[in-house]
Amino acid sequence: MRKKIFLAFFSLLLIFVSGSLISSKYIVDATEGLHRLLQMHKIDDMSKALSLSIRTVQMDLFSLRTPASRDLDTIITNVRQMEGLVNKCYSCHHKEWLVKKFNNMSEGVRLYKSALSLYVTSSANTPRMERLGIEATQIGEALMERVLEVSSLASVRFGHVTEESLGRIKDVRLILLGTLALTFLIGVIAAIHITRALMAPLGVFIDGTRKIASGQLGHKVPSEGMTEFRELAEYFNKMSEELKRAHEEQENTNRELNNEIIERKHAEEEKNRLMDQLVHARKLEAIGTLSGGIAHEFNNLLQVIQGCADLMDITMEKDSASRKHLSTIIATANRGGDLTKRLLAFSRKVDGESRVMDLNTKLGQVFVILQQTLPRNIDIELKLSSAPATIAADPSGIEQLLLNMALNAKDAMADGGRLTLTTRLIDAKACKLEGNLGKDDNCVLLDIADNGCGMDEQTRALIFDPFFTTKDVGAGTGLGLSVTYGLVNAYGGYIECKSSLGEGTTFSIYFPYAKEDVLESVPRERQLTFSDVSGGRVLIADDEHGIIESAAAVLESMGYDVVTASTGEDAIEICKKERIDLVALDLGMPGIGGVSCLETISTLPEPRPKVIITTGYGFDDAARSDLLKKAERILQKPYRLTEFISAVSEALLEK
Amino acid sequence: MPKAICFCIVFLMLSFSSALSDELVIGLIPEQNVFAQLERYEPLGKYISSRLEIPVRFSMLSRYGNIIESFRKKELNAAFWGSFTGALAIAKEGVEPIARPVWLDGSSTYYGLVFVRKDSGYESFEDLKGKRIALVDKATTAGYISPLFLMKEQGVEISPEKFFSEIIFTGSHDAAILAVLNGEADVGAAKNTIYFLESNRNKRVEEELKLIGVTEKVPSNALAVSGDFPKEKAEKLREILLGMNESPDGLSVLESFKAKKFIETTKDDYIPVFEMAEKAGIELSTYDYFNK
Ligand SMILES: Nc1ncnc2c1ncn2[C@@H]1O[C@H](COP(=O)(O)OP(=O)(O)OP(=O)(O)O)[C@@H](O)[C@H]1O
Ligand SMILES: [Mg+2]
Repeated sequence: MRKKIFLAFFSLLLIFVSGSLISSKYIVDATEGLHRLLQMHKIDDMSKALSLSIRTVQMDLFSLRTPASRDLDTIITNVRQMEGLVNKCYSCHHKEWLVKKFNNMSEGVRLYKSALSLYVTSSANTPRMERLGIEATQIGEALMERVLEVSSLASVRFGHVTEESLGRIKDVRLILLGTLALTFLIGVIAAIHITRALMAPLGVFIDGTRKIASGQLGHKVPSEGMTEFRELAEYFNKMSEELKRAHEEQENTNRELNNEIIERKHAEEEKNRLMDQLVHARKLEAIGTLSGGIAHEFNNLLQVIQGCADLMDITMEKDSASRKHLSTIIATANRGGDLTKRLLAFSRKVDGESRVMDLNTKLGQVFVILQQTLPRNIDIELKLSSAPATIAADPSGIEQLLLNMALNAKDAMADGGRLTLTTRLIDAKACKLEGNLGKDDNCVLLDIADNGCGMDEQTRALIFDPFFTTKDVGAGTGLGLSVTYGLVNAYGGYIECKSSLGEGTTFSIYFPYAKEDVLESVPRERQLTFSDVSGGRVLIADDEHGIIESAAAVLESMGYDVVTASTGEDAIEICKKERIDLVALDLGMPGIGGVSCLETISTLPEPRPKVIITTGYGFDDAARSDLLKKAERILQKPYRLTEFISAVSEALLEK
Repeated sequence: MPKAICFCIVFLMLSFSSALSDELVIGLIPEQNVFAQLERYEPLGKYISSRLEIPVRFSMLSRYGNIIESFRKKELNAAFWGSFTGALAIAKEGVEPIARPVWLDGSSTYYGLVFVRKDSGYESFEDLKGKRIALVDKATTAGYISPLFLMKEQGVEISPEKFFSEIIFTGSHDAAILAVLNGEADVGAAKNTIYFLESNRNKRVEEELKLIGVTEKVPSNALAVSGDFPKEKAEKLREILLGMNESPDGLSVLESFKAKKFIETTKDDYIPVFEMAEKAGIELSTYDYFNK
C-alpha cells in the first residue's frame, strides 16, 4: 500500500515537476523572447537615431557656410555618433549577411566622413566646394538608404520576434493549464483508488473489533493483502490473543479466590463444629462430675441400707412374715446400686479393668445374644474387619455398650428393619481421635447402623445427656447412651451420631487400635468361699456410722476382731498403737482423708496391715492401678456383705 | 538613444557658447581629415585631462572665415597652431606658446612640399605656368606661405593668381594631396608630415606623385594658450607636456600621436616665420588670409 501511495504521489510529483519544468523552460524562452523584443526596440531606436543623425548632418551640410551654419564641432560630433551607432550593430550581430550589411553601412560612413571632411575644410573655389558638397550629400543619401534598409530588416525581424514571443506565452499558458488538469485528474484517481484500497481491509478490522467487543476474545482476522495490513492483522491477532489470555487468567484467579473462600468457609464450619463438640463435651463432663458426686453419696446410703438388710437377712428367721419386705428392700437397694453404677459409668468411673481385646470376637458373642433376643423382623448384619480389631477396654463394658446400642436400634425399628454392625481398621488421618493418637497409630472404627425412625437435629444434640429419653415413663431411663458415652471416653475413644428423621441412625465409635501386648491381662479374681475365713483383727475406717455398724456386725459374727475409726487420723493412730491385720478403708472420709491415710499405712513398718479400699466413687484405670499397689482390693459401694466378707478373708489369706 | 543624442547636442551647444573656466578647450586647425585628426589628438587630450584634473575638449577651428576671429569668438583657452597661424595668433591675439612635439624622426619642425603627378612631366616651377594649383589655406605655412615664398625665391615673380590658371584651397593638407592625385589640380603644396603620413597610408602617393620643391623648416604645430590664461596653469600644462616622455602612459600617448616628446616653445621659436613673412611681404598683424 505504502508503495502504491508512494507511487501515486511520485507520479503526481513527476507530472507536476515535468510540467513546471517544461513551462518554466517556455517561460524562460518567452522572457528571452521578450528580452529580444526589448533589444529589438533598442535596435529600432538605434536605427531611428542613426537616420536622425544622418538627416541632421545632411541638413547641416546644406546650411554650411551660411550665417545660420552649424558649428563644425556639432557636425563632427553627429557624424562620430553615427559611426558609433553603426559600430554598435557589429557588437550584437554576427550573422554573415547582416555583417555584410553593416560593413556596407560602415563603408558608407567612412566614405561620408572623408567626403564631409573634404567639404567642410575646403574654403575657396566655390564651384569645387559645391561639387564636394553635392558629393558628400549624395554619399549621405546612399548611407541613409542603407540605414533604412537595415532598419526595415530590423522591424520585420521585430514583428517576427513579437509574434514568436506571443506564441510562446500562449504555449506556456496551455502547458500550465494542461499540467494542472492532468495533476488534478491523476490526484483524484489516486485518491479514489487509495481510499478503496484502505477501506476494504479496514472493514475487516472493524468487524474483528466488533466481534472482540461482543466477547469473542481471541477472534482473528485473516492476515492477507497489503504488507501494512498484514502487519496490522498480525498485531491485531496478537492483541486479541493477549486479551483472551488475560481474560482467562483473570477467571482462573477468580476461581482460585472462590475456592479459597469456600475452603475458608469449610474451615470456619469445621471450627464451629469442633467448638460445638467441645462445648458439648464440657457440658457432658460437668454433668458427669455432678452425677458422679451424687452417685457416691447415694452409694454410701445404699451401702448402709444394703448392709443392714444383709444383716437382717442373716439374723431373721426363715419363715418370718417380714422376710418378704426385707427382700424388697434388698432388691431396691440393688436397683439403686445399679443406677449409681451407671451414673458413675457416665462420668467415666467405670467398674472393671481394661485389657487388650478383639472387638470382632466380642461382636461375634453379642451377635449370638442379639439373634436370640431381638424380634424376628429385625435383620442383624455383621461386617467385620479381616484383621483383628484389637482395642484396650473392659470386655464387659464393651458388651454393655453393644447391648445398649442394639436395644436403642430395636426401639427405633418398631416395624422391623436392619441393624448393621461394622468394624474397620482405618488410619489416623481418617480417624477422629485427633489428640489421643500418634501419627502412625491405627484406629478401629465401629459403626452401628439402623434404618429406623431416626432423629431430628434437636433430639440428636441431647441424646448423650443423662436421663434424656423420648420414651415413655418406665420404658427408658435415658442413661443408655450416657453410659455408652462414658465407656467410650473411658477407653480413649470417640463417639458420634449421624441421623436423619425417618431414614435411620448410624453411631460411629472410634477406638485407638491396641497392639496385642500393650496391656497385660489381669488374672481373674479367685472365687472364694466362707470356709477360707481364718480370723484376724480388722479395722473398719468409715465416716458412715451405718456402714461401720453393719460391716462390724457381720465380721464379728464371722469371728474377726473388729476395731473402728471414723477419721483417717484415728485409723492411723490405731494402726500404730496395736496390731491390725487388715484395714477396710473408706477413701471419702473427713480429716486427712482416705488417700493420705492409705499412704501412711503403706509406709508403716512390717508387719503392716493389709488394706481393702471401699469407695462410693469410681476410678479410671490409672487411678485404680495406682491404688492397687498399696491396697489388696477395691470394693465398690454399695457392696453386699457377702462380697465384703469374701474380700476380707481373701485379703487376709494372701501372703 | 535619441534622448542621449539630444542631451549631447544640448550639452555641446552649451559648452560652445562659453568656454567654461572649469574646462580646457583646445582648438585644432584642420590639417588632415578632421575625423582622423580628432582621433589622433584625443588620447593626448585625455592624458592632459588626467594630469591637469580638468576636462579637456577639442574644438575644430573652421578655415571658413577668420581663424583668429573664430578662436576669439569660441573663447578657446588654447590651440595647436600651425606655424603661420601661430605667428598670426601671437601677433594678433597675444597667445603664449608652451610646447611643441618632436616627431618620430627627431625633428620638431616641418616644411612644405611642392608635388606634381609623375606622369605630368613637370620638372620646375616654370612648367607650372597656367596650371591649376591645390593649396591648403592662406593661413598655412607649409600649404601656402612657404611654397609661394619658395617659388618667389626661384623666380616666379608674378602673383600666384596670375601665374596659375586656378587656385584651389583644400582646407587640409591631405585634401591637397588628394586633389593632385585625382587630377583635380596639376600641382599641390602640403606639409611634409601629412604628406608622409598620407604616403604611408596610401600607396598611390609614392607611386603617382613626385616632389619638385622643398621649403624651409618652420617650428611644428605648437600649443599656445590664450593671453588671459592663468600663468601658473600654463606652467603646469607645459610641465605635463614636457614630462610626457618620462612616464609609460605618456609614452604610449606620444606613440599614437606619432611624436617622440614635447619640447619647450616660446615666441622666439617663431622668429623664422616672422622673417619669412617679412620677406614674403606679409604684414602679419593686418594679413588678410581669407581664401578666395
Ligand atoms: N437407634 C436409635 N434410633 C432412634 N432414636 C434413638 C436411637 N438410639 C437412641 N435414640 C434416642 O435417644 C434417646 C436416649 O437413648 P438412651 O439409650 O440413652 O435412653 P433410652 O433408650 O430412652 O432409655 P434406656 O436406654 O435407659 O432404657 C432415646 O429415648 C431415643 O429417643
Ligand atoms: Mg437405651
